[in-house]
Amino acid sequence: MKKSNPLFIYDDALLRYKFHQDHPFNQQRLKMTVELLQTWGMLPDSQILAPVAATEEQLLLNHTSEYVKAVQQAGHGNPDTKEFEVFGLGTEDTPIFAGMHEASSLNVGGSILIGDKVMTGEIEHGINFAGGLHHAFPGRASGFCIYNDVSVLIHHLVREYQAKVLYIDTDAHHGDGVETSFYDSPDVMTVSIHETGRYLFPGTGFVTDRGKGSGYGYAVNIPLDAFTEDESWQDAFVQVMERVLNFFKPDVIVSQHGCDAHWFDPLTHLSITMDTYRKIPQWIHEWAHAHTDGRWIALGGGGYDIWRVVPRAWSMVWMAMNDLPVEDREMPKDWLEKWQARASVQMPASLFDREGWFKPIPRRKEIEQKNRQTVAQILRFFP
Amino acid sequence: MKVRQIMSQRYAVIHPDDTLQQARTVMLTRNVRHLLAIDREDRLAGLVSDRDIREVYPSSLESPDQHQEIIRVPVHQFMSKMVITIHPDDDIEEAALLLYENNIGSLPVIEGEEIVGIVTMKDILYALIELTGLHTHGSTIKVEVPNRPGVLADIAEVFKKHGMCINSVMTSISGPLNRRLNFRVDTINPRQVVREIEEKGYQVVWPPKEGFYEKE
Ligand SMILES: [Zn+2]
Ligand SMILES: [Zn+2]
Repeated sequence: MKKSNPLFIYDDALLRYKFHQDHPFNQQRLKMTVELLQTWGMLPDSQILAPVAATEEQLLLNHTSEYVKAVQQAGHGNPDTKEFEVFGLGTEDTPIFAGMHEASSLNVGGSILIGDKVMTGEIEHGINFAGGLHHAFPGRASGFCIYNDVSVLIHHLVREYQAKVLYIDTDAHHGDGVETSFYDSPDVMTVSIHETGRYLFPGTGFVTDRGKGSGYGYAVNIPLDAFTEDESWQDAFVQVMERVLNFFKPDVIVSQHGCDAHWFDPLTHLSITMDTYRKIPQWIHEWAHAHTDGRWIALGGGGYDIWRVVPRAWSMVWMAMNDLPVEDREMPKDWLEKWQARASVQMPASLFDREGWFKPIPRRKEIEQKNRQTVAQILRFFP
Repeated sequence: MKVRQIMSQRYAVIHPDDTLQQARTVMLTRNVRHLLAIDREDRLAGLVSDRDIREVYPSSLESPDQHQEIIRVPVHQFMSKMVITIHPDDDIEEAALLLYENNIGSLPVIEGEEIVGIVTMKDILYALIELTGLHTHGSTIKVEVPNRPGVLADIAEVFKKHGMCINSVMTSISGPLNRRLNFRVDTINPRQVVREIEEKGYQVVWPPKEGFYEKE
């Protein structure tokens, strides 16, 4: 039976996940990505699917009932912030906003919806860019993330389908929330490649963090130096992933596509370009066909330069997923004009980054050498 | 933090009249690098380190006879008798300085007449990691500041204003007039606090300036 084309979760209601006007986490980027793909004729309505909110029962697969209650109460009425602080709510990172429980449940529901369609064989691949909120913990919000849609989704996949899940996290920050959820589980292998926690939030995800108990060996961390750049990043990622796929036999791949490792991103310093964001989804797509019968669930994540980075990077995930040729092209004029009018910076006119946009890194050789050493250390842990 | 909190109470002992071979065996079986040599009155007579053992232990070049003779050398002949000790209520900074300045690996902990434990370089390292907050989480912010009163409070004020928890702070000396402050702060987005610290006239060394790597 031929499976349907990939599905893309979108609904304007997803834009309600909004802390405030000046907050760096801005879901306008979802709308920008959708409109970009539509302008290019790559996203017909038949491939767009509106999310359904996750049920409370589903949230409880990963979150404590006290926490879910706190999120519900915080989002309704006039809360005393102090009371919510223990839950990480009402902080500068994760301010309280009206209807935050409902908005967050919708993110989670989108990820589960794609998960079900992939596991029942209706589709091979699908995307929920509103998901990928990898920092949230069972009882605490963290790093702009309220509910951890990734952890809820993976718990759901394990419970409903007895699936072995490979989670690949290419966000610039360590995927700490997801790793913690499955740290002692041999059914879920988590791989996170990120800027080293020595400096960058959340400050975890070191080479020696490999899982615990029967889950030992099923967590992999690739902490890279600041200013790593494309070549060294790609070398590290591919080398480790080849060993991971050799070691673990997953039924499905869940990938997190935070694109905050780009040069332009204001919160991180890995200095990679669109070249890497073009290759990541192509590699994962290949791995899915080679190892999981095509089963692949792609999610969003970080990405704080919404003008210059996110729509370009995410459109390439969709292109790769749909076997569309990913080549350099001009950004559509109408789309560019519309968003440039609101943008705070000059938006790029091409899909790829061009030669000469960035300054050369002075300590490149040293950084490459350190990263090679990190990878060698990781590979030594594999049987 | 006091020595009492980090010392090990399960130290390994040897008698000054025991032999080199016995000392070596105790060290290997107990998996320690220091032995307290204790006399019949339970008083500290000396300290034997793995370095002492290595220095006197016969090499494979020696004849079997010589070998037998050397391994029977009594402990009191090669142990250090000028032992530097510490009190359990001393600060661990004091212990760290004693180890550093005397180039030694451990300090017996003595309370009155009684031996109550041992503190090693490894214990100090663990304690310093705890104290400096090297293991804590968050975003790192490094600030170069002049060494004058009120600087730390001035910067801490910024974090307070933004409701951000400082998970740890470490100071290092950075030239005769300057200090380098190393904060671990509980936020994914330190941009605004960095801006405000800079507005107060301090030099933020990490994170790098926004857009500093973009070509004009
Ligand atoms: Zn991130
Ligand atoms: Zn495919």
